[in-house]
Amino acid sequence: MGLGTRLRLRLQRRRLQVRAIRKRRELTREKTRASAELPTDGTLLFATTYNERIRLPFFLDYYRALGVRHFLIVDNASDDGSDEYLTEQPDVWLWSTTASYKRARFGTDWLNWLKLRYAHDRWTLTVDADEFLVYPFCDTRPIDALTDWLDRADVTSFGTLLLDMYPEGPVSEAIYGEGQDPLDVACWFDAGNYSYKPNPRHKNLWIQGGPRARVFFRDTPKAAPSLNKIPLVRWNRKYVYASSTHMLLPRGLNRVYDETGGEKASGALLHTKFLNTLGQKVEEEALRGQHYAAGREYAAYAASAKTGLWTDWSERYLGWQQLEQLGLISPGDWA
Amino acid sequence: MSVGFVMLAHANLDRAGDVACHLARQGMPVFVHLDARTPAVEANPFLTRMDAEPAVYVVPRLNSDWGTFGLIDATLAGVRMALGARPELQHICLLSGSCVPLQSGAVFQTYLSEHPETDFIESVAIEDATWAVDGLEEERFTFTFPFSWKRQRRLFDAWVEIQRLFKRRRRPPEGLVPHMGSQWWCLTTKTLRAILDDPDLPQIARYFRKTWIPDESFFQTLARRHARNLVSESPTLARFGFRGCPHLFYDDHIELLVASGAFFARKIWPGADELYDYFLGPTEGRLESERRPRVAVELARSVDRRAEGRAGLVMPGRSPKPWAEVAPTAAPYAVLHGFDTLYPDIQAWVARQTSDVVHGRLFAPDRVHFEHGGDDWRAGMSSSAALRDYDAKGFLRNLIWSARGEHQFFLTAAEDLESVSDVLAKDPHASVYMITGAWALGLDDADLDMRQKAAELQRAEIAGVDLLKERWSRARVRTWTLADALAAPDQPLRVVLDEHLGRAAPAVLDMPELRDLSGLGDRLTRLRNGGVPSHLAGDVATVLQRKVIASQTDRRHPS
Repeated sequence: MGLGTRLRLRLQRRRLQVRAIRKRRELTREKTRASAELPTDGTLLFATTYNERIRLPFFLDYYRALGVRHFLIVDNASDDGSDEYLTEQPDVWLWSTTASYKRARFGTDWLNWLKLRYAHDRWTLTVDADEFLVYPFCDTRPIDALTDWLDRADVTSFGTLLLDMYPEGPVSEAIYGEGQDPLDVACWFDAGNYSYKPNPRHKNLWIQGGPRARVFFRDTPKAAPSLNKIPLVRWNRKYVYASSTHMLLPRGLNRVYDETGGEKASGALLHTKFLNTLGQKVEEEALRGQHYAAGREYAAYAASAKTGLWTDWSERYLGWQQLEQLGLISPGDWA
Repeated sequence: MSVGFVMLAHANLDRAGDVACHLARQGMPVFVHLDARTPAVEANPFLTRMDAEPAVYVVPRLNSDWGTFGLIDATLAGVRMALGARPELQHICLLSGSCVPLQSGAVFQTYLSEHPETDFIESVAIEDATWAVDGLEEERFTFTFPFSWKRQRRLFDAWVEIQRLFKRRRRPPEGLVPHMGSQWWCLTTKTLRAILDDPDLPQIARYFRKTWIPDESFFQTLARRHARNLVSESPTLARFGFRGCPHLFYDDHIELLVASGAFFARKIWPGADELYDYFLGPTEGRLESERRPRVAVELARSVDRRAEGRAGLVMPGRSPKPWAEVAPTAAPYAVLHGFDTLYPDIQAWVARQTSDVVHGRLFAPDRVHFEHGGDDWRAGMSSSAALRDYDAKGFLRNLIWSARGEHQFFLTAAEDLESVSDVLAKDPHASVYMITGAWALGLDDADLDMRQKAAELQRAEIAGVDLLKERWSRARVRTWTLADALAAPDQPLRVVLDEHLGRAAPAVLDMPELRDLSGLGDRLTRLRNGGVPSHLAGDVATVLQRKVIASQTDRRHPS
């Protein structure tokens, strides 16, 4: 790598760090039922939420079942009672903000700050309220088993595929109720229509495809959303997320894949966006204009409310073993 | 008639303590050595607990860093203490704090009392050992290793390189044949006493102090020297994975471990509550399992997966560089180029003959024509030409991957080659059968732009064929000119079937219908005169002329 690129990347990383530090002023710590001091063991889960009240109970329970014991959440001015619900939780550390989600680079700056402050030398898991981590053996081994093993193998970041889940019928008819497993209403996914392109600058694998590319971006594939995510990282105060959880700096962290033919351990984030709750989101986002590419994606989603994303070739989700057989995740040398 | 244990512990002391107590309470004394570097906060409660246990002895603590002779010193201290405190012991078994017993103490003791004179220690001559990290097999004995592999890797590697450069060969003491094997063993006290009483021991210890990972060679070498009845097998199941990391066992391994037939296993993940409860709990009601040692196979498979991966798959954990894989796709497939213009019904015909998956023109400019013409295909593949062309290589890879276990055909025409010929040329799995110049059959004489169209098609086809026939091309390519195919229309089909049926094609082929050839000769002549001579069609005029003559002859001499 040339000296120029190195300097530019370093500058970019520094700039993002400074940005995160400046954005700390936008966050106010809220009192919750959790102890004032953050425990020193276990993986820290980071999330930003905006009006996700209906999803929160299952979201928290899902990750509790995987063995996550500490949640650090930034609530971005929800008006649906999310904040009251979160303050009642014994394992949630809550920050609130009314500042612009978009200008905090979709929450990334806020979470970069919290990680810089609280997560040095700890395992961090950064997900949205509609993303559910699946990794090899996740039905029998807690997340500490995974992070312990990654530590032993000297691995600091764990890559995933963002797997869009969708219902069989129209999205608006997949009625989601509080506390319910979203997979009960949207358990279908695309098994193998993904495109993988190496990004030489940041060394990450750029993944696109899935139902969104198939339905919304069939004529403009380049604009299809990125599906590569690196949500699980052994954090260091030198690190930053450069763009959502798609990309990290220093860029060595993005090398979650093997280039010599082998398979590194990797997982999936089941993305349960396509539920009836999407309709309301679309309206809100259109109003707020706070989402990626000014909600361009959301306009397209409005169409899916009626037609749906399902095809004869859709695959019904059964478990991580199925994803492994399909070649979407891999246990690598974890046996 | 009894066995004692020497246990080396350094972390996760709650678990190590549980195992030590479990063994001791079954009447087998345990001599626990705790690494001197373990911090007092963890060490003190553990030592207090061990002191309170009647059959557990605490060995004086020494520094025993991974890969150093300190581990041997600690083991020897434990063995000396055991021989002194319990002279009646017949076997001593070396365990680590992260081992777990897979069988009850009674079963282990019975087994040993049936083999009272046998030493169980994996011990392999170094010429035959091939498992070592960094390929340091013989060199671990002939070099010295003053730097820590874990903390001073660069110095470690540099020092190894320097010694290689100077072809350093440290000699073992006279009469000592270095052997290697698993660190965990079960030796008779007779053999251990002989080792401790060996007059050369100080000299031998001096030699091993400088070797690399002596815990895998010190006892393995000395047991060879002193044992009378050595079985080269460790009682402890311990496997190493990719890059020398020990495999860990979890709750979901219980069944596999029971079936392994081993006496102990390591390493156990400290958080495996269910596994510890199971193997340290009562033996009644345990799984009845016949001995099927699948565990080694399963673990070896995981190493393969990490090192080799699944061929033809790209996924978030695997994106091989082109030089790193045999082929960019998972399985062989065949491409029929130009066939559909000559035999309009070819798709259905091949499907009938072979029962393979036969697609239409997957790379047609307008859209993807899957086998039954639908909007999508398996795995959610889309018929959108834009999506396909965005990543043609990925499209083909996904296509082949999603129908693993089945053979696939697809058709191409001259105008499709632009997007696909480069991908095919790089794929040794591609068998490309081409009838060149066949596009001329598909032209419409009434079209005013026919000349221009023909020129474009010909240019596209020549470019594609040239690419596929490049010296570096890895595709298997068979070509016939249109003239060849017209002269013997069954020939290309016969070759395709012969190569893909797995048996010879029938002598008399049930031929697909041939396209109407009327006007072809005139059309080619007009094109030639219009400035578009056909380069790839062959001498069609002569073939057509011969055909006319032949058919007239047939008419004159009806049989």
